[in-house]
Amino acid sequence: MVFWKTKNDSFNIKEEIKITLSELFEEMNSKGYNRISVNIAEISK
Amino acid sequence: MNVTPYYPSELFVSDEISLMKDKKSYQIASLVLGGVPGVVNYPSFGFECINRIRLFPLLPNMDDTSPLYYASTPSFYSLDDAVNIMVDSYFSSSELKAGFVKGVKEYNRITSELFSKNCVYDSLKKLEEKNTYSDKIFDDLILRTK
Repeated sequence: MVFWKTKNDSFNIKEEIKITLSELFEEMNSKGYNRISVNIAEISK
Repeated sequence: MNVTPYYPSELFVSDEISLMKDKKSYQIASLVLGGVPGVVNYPSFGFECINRIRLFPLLPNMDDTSPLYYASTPSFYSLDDAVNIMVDSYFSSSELKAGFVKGVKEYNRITSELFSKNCVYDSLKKLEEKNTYSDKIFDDLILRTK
């Protein structure tokens, strides 16, 4: 896990996620998927 | 009792069902393309996040997937907001891709189950048989006219 994230690193991570998300939406659009779950997490009390 | 609308039980993914059976509260995050017909509509594509808090109502025992057991709070985010949320929660692009692959498998499983439950495969097979039969008649006609 990264604890010392700099402003530049954060920018790169954001760009990477944005590109990945765009690719995934494109795939969903081309294959006709309307809802794909990507993460399920238990909420602890 | 506050009952909020949620997806029908046929659309639940297997991890979700196991959390419901264990009586857990959970959050489900999904990528959506304008919504799911007949359930929800969104203005565009985006990131859907639903918090489902388990309730323990004083009611007779019901099916584990009953909507009376959960208070659902949906949120919808645009692409930019989704990116910020993922960065803030240390959700990497590789985790996102892995989650997506798993989600697609679940989507295909659910679609396949819905198709077989509603006899779509049988209807398609009948249609195919009908088509081959009509093709045969058509071929015979062509042969006769030659």
